[in-house]
Amino acid sequence: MSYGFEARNQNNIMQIDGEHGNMAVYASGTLNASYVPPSNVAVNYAQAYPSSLPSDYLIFAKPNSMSTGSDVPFSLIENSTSFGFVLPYGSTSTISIDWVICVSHGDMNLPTSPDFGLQVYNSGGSVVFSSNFENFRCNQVSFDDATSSSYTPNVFSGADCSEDYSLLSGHSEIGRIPVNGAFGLVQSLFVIYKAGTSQITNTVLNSRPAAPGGGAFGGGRVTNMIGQFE
Amino acid sequence: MAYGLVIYGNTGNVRLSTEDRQVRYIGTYSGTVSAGSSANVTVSGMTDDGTWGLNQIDVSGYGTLSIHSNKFTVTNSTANSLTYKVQVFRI
Repeated sequence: MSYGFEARNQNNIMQIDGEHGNMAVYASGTLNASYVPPSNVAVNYAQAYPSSLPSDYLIFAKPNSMSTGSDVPFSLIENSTSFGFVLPYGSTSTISIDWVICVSHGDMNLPTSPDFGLQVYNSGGSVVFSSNFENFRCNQVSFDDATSSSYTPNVFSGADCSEDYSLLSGHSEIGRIPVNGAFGLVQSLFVIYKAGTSQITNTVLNSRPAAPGGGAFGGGRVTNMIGQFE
Repeated sequence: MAYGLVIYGNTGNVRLSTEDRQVRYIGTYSGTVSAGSSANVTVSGMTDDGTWGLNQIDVSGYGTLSIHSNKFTVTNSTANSLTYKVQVFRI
């Protein structure tokens, strides 16, 4: 860059680039997640998007609480107006999920009288970083090419399963497998919290019944990351 | 600390430390790729250095994504047209 402000971390990876907006907390809440049959699937789209949500956003989530030794798998579903979280096909439990929607700092409502910290503007005069906003501090990241027929589960070790949020955007339905002549199963990319081993993994699991037959759809390149909001 | 930037909030909480990676949203790109074809999408500065994140968030078809210098490529190997929607961000 020829002018302006950059910050890099201890591994020389850019944190603030003076051009593109960092991600801040726009909205947050808690939702219940369960497996709901397709006949009643509207139940899963439990949370309407916040009004005036910018078009570019990311959804992060984590279990609200963990029982020692238990694994908690869940995935994200979205439509044009709402989103929610689902458990794998056939699951009989209900879990509580903390969610966060992040948008670029430039899409946030800026305080009119900032009283502390740092604001960085790009060459167009838009804020790309403001320390007034709750910020996503990523501590692990990985990249995958995911299909239902070819996927090696990603594992984040040393995770704090009580505090680390996972990126759920991109964790969509990913394919369909045949079960018998009358029945198939849609598969989705799930995140699994494993408090017993301090791991957060991403893997493909069955998500709902569907028409017979198989094939890949959705999926493709996906970015996995975990971190905390402060 | 020996180097880098630490930013604190008004309660003394750490907003940014030298250990973090930070997510910057570049944009959302969408389009259509015909059956058996590929399309290049220009993203200035893109390179396959492990700091560029892509999420294909459209589920109407299946396409593979690959990162190249100043662009990513959407490849549709199926027999049907693919409508893609891809989130691009840096970490």
